[in-house]
Amino acid sequence: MMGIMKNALRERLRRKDIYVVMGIGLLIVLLCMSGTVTLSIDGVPVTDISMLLPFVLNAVSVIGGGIAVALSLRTIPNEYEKKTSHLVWMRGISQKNYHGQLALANVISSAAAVFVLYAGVMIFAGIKGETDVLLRSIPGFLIFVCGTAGVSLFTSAMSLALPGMAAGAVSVAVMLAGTMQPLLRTLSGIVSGVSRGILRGILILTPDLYAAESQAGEFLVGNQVDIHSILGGMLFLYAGAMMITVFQKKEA
Amino acid sequence: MYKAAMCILGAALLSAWLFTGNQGISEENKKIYKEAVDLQEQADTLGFEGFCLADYPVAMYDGTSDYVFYRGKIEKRTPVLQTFAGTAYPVEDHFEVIIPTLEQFDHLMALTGGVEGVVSGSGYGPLEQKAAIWHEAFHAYQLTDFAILGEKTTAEEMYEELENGGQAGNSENDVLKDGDGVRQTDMEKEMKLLKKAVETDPSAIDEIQRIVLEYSECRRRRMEGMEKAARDAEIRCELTEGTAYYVEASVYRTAAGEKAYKERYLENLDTYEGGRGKYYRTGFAKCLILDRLNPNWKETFDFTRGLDKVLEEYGRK
Repeated sequence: MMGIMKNALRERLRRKDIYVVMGIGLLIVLLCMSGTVTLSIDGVPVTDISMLLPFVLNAVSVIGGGIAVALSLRTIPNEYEKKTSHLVWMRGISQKNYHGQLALANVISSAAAVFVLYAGVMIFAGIKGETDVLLRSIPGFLIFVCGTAGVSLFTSAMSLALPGMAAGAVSVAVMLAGTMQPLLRTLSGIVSGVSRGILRGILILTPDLYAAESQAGEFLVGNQVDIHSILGGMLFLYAGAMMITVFQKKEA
Repeated sequence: MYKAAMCILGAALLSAWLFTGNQGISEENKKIYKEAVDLQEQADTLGFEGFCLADYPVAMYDGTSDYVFYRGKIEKRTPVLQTFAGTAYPVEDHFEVIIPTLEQFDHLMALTGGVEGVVSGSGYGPLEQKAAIWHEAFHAYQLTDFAILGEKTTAEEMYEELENGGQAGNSENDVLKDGDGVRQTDMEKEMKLLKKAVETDPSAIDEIQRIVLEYSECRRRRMEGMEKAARDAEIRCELTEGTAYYVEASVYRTAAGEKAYKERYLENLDTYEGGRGKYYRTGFAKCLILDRLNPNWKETFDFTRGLDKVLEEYGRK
């Protein structure tokens, strides 16, 4: 039933690029927490886990978003380039099902990559003796991965609708705008005229991935979470899934 | 069946997202406003007659909407001023306090490295936000109840001026920007004298008066070399911002404690910076000195004279 998805995952595991990207990401995350990097906000050293977690998770979300774009961008186009898709249609599998399984493979591999980075953060919390954080880590991950999964689905959908470079550019732009929403919102209040109009447009058109993923940090340290932000992340996930079912390839 | 289930799921998600989006401003901002209002008793001890924070609507702008706190209610509205600013602004026939939400202020500080009147790197949190609300409310009080240096502008007049392309305080800003004709060395000397007077034992009135006289002479000489527009702008800025900064610092002292107050407001009293920021501190220092010379100086204070005139009056006695 899910043979295409399993094959796509196996192929992903055979490729070495995912391990390199995950290794570099994990190194950055560990550096942020190890004390090698001196982190301070408003001149106050950030060492407390409740201050460090949101910052590190924000870094993980940006790295994870980049990984999701990298892993999801070429999967579907590569399958079509093999010129073997007719074998799929011969087995009575619809294009929608085919795309869905490949996109699911992208989501699973992106989530797995982010999980490795997230696990690095949790190990750090464990070393610090933060058992409460560890106990909340699994539901926290489910909240956190929403945005990454959404980016993966969106990228998969863009790879169906646009040529390679354009799909990559749009996906990266949406991912970055989504993870930098607070910065863009603040900037839109500082600038005026056309610049403000453009920034407001970007804010309306892109999902607030920062808000969605930052709720994981709030949840992990025991703060109240904003349901609206989590729902926003889920809505983006849903929109990505819908785009996968709507966009078709002409080759079929 | 599958399509119907997906449509229902999408509709449910969208409805829930829209519904929860109306929750409005964060609990932290609500708490900040409530705790700011609770500082009224401390503000009353300052002696500015009729000054009450609750008299002025306080609008917090979150980048999308204004949340207006007034008479126990919070109303969401289209932003009056679609920019991040802490200000007293004309709305219809009255003045309101407009201030970014704490979250936006935090981002703004991180992005710009500081704002006017707040020394860069000194940090910004709920305590500073409460103090900032009082600062801006004091401007609303000045504009509502007084003719600043004999010039009264109603909310309607100011609104009309702004609508016609003006910017509140623009002419003053233009004159007081960097290179405003103020010689840094002279100004630094004056600021040091003011700080010295503030730090002098309050019971040593003669010594404070001596420092005030020395300061007044230095200032008189510096002002002689300045253009009238720059002089007027400095006097006005020092009067409005200095007194508002004095109120801000006083409520901060109550909320944050003596140590934090000294670090934030007293240690940098002689810090020179280009633009208007330095006048917040010189005006504030003059209010503190006046408290020492005559604690009742505010009983007859009506913003029609610059702080120097008041200081000269009490400094001679």
